[in-house]
Amino acid sequence: MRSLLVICLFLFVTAAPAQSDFGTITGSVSETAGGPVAGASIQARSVETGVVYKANSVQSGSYTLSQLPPGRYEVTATALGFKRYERKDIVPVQAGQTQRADIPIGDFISLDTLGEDRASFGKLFFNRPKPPEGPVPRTPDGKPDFSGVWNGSLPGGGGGSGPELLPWAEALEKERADHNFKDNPSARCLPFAVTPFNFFLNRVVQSRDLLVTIIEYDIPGYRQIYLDGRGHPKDLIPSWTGHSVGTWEGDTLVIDTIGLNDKTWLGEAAPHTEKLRVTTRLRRLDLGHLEIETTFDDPGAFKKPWTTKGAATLASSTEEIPEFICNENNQDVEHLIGK
Amino acid sequence: MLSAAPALAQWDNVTHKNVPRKADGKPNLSAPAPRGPDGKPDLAGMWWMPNRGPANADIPPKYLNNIAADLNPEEVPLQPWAAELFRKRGAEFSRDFPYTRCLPSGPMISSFPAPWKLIQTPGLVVILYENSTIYRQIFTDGRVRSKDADATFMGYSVGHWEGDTLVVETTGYNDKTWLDFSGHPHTDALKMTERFRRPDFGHLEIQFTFDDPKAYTKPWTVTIHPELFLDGDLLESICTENEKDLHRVVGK
Repeated sequence: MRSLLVICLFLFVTAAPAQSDFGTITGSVSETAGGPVAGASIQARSVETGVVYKANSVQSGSYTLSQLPPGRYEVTATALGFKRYERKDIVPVQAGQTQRADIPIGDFISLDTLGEDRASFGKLFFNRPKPPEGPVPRTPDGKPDFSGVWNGSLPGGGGGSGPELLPWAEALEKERADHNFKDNPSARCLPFAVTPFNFFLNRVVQSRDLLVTIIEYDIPGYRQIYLDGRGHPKDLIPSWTGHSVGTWEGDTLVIDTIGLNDKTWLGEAAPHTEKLRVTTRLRRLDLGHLEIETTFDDPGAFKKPWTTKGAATLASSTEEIPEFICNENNQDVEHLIGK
Repeated sequence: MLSAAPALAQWDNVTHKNVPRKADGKPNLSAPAPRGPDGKPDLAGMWWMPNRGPANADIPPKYLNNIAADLNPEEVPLQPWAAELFRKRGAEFSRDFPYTRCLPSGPMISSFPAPWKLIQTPGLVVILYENSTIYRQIFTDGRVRSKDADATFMGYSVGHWEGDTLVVETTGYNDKTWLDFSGHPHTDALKMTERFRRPDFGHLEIQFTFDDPKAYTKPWTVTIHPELFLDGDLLESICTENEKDLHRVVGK
């Protein structure tokens, strides 16, 4: 009796029908210096169908692409700060089997300062302290109050590595990458972000008519989001940071930014035009958590709008935004090499 | 480069609410200064030091050029080495003025003619500056600068109220900025005290005391009078973009 039961269970477990029709590609993303690369975006494109399957690498650098129909796959990977990786040989996937494909993603592009511990850079994002608990603070007129010092979300978090670009923009992006990103304006201390939040530290100062973000690690150090009901000016001269107005949809603050010039690079190297419109939806879930959903809409450069989600956590009460004077002692510029 | 004329058409959408008006609809700048819910004066608003020099005159505005313009030279108690450095900077036509290299203005930022915006919240006053798009945080929640904090261009500011005066004390400056274009020096020992008052709706008064025993034999004080700026909002001013002046700066 008991042995019959055991056999039945054994048959049941091994005969899970859906699993064995698919295969898996798994591996580890690592850089030339040997360390693991977390947050890399890995893509496997089926040669037969053209369908693209995606996964991200975790803190240990490992990734898994599962539920893959059997066939042949081209594997590529991108990670912030690295050149795009394209695996030379096709990865075959068979039903019910796991294929290993490690990704040696190459040298970190960014210019290392002597003595800088690159592993600690990753720790900045993955080892943030647990934020305090509590309800959403409110302003005297009942709106959510976003004020506080926030640890920003990971770059491009949750939405893949960037927008789907029109052919001209895709070609330009590739050219920028081939040149080792040497012409990135932020390397010359020009502004970097088109959104009011950065992935490092941000301080939000909210008053009735104005929301100000004070941003670590960008020029300018602050952004203004007007809450006083003004619209955008008619004769807006394009600028690096554009013009931002905020309106409330219930407890969500919807920030509309237009008037951007075309000089910033999105994500790592994606171009955009002056038509770019950035919509940022802010929600404070509780005392310690901010949800940030950003949509980038640029019909001049993108095939369709690109939405990315991120979450910020409240920093510890002693955290302060340090002064960042980019062009003091900017020693990197003369080292930028590329075609 | 040193003056900023606002581009007025840019701001056709800005209307200022809560501005007391005269019978003819113009802002009443002599109206009483507003107060916040805590009874303290509300210093919030956009302010600037209007440049009332002749149009197109190629001279920097008065206090930007010389923060001690209202004093006699002997009232600026320079240490001998500092007096010599001040003389040298003048002889070199202020060639090494840090702002020419797009470095922050340090203590003298309030004397620039470009407007700035003061935001007053419980525990924190923030000032956003148009020139160099830099900002200051003035902590009014009782905290003090950490002893192992780095020296910075803009220093570390804490403030408290004495009656209707906001007293702001700033320490932790590095020694890389000048007090004005003509080159009054300061060192990292500088403690700058600003006493902010708002005598009426349209006027601010900031009394600066420079206490820097390494550069001056005793503290000295100057007062400036910023005015309310109602003609628009802060413009983006990215100094390092298309910077063309540097190679033309002459000096011995």
